[in-house]
Amino acid sequence: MILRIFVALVISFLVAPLLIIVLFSFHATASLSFPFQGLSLRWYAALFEDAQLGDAMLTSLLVALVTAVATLVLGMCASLAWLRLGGRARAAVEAVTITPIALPGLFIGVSLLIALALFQVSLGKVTIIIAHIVISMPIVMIAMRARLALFDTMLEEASRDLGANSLYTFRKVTLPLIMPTLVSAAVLTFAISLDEFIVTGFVSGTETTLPMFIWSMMRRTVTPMINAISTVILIATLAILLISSHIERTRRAQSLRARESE
Amino acid sequence: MTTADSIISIANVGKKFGTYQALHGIDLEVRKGEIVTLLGPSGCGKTTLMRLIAGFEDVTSGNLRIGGKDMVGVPPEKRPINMVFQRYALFPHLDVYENVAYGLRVRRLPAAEIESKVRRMLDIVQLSQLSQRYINELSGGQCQRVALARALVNEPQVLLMDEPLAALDLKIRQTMLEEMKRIHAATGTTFIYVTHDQDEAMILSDRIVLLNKGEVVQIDEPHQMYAEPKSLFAAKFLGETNLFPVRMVAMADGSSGSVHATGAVFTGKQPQPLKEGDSALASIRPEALYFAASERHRQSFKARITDELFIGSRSFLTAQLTNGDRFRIQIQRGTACPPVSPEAQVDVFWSPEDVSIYPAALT
Repeated sequence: MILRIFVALVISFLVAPLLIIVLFSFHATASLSFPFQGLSLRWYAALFEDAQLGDAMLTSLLVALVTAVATLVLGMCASLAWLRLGGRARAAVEAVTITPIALPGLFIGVSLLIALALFQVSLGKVTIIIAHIVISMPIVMIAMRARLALFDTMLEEASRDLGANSLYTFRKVTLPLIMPTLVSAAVLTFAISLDEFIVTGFVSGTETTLPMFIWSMMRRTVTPMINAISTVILIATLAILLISSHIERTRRAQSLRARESE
Repeated sequence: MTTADSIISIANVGKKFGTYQALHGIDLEVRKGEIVTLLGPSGCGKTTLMRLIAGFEDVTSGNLRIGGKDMVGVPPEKRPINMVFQRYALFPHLDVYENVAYGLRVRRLPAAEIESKVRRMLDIVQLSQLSQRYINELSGGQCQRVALARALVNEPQVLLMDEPLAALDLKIRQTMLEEMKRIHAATGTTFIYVTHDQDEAMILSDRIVLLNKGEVVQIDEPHQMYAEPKSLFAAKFLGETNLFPVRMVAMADGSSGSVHATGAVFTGKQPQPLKEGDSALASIRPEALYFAASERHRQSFKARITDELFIGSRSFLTAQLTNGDRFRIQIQRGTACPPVSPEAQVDVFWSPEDVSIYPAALT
């Protein structure tokens, strides 16, 4: 019983703020506190009228998408290579790829800025993406390391024993097995990139991402528009999760049907 | 041996990992359709030998031919061999049907052919009802059969099995062994079976290859190997045996024999050279000892029965010689035997035909 109450408390602690934000995004007035004064879509309307906000959102989505895909490919290759390393090389690669997670954002921001200046790269979307890849790489590596620790390399041998070459083995055995981890790492990377703020500030140049825009907005005045933006992002994130799990289910159903017709 | 019906021919094969010599001087011919077991304790090189045959490792020296073709540099996917892995290595993201179909899909066979071959193989291993189950929904014995089906559906010239029953409990193991004999008869494939379990080896094999420390100790049919182990290692590894420390002496008739500290005399086979005065070990299996003399069972010593271990169809008696040496006697249930009594001395008889004398190990 006590355990149940505890679980309920933890869940409400996690979920309550979300619900309140969603609720107040539909608030009829600019007030951010109870009592609730009626429903309205005015803040959502305001969102779509704000051109600057729209730009910032597009920039953020584009950056997040490219970051997720790039990190995914790089992280997958790096971790599979890591799996095949032995002894010291393995430990060294592990340390190098995972350390950035422990470094302060300020430090990464400053050092990236210096490095970019050194190579005379002009700041913009590309540099933001580079920065986000640096930040999210350790996340992918940690997720993959945990998955690959349980990966039975015997499965790859079994595939080769059954006549498959390395490429076929990768497509039909390795990739499907690590796919769930890759997808969740990609979703995580997308989310990290979407709300990254500190490092982005150093390397964004004249670009404005959504978190930067919200921050500058907040400095002027706190408006319920922020609730509306947050709600949109929340719904988008949930949608991504639902879609990815739905795709997995339909694929399974399809392959069963394909066999019936064989 | 004729090479006409030889499917695998291994000549003077050695394998080194760094400075560690895992195998040396292995010679082995495997005939078409036979079941050969690679038997030995862990670290004897049996798994290494099998991985060499499968192509997961390259030979360091010597020659390995399969179906008459030299296999040096031929990768596993190009060898006419399939393998049942120790922990099965079944694909967890595929169901039973797709696991079995994997090798056929790799070869891009027509869909109808894949269907009929997979169905037939699932029938043979009696898994047709479970074709849509995922691997984590199967029991150990079912996984084992999927692994067999996945390998055999490709109609390999040779099927390798790496301790396929190690993960199963005793009852299922018995059933699976019978199952494998049945499948072997149904397919006629050559089986090479790796195990450290002497019972499995004896039940299953046409021939046993006994390995120790990277070398072949003995190759024989199970009956022959059990009856006439050519070394102390073979005698101890295959089945149970009693070893009596003895000293080699010349017998009255001029032949060579040995004498125990109690004065008991052992004569018998001497597979390895021994000379007068050598210390040696006389080996007699527990079931070769009797309480009654006969024309065959004419050698004997006196012992006291100190304990009985009853295991149903048979009992193991612990006995003690007058100098304190202990040994075991196995008797069938229903056989007359003296009662357990620390005082009474009884005569124990054996036949010289059941005795082998080996040089005492130096260690």
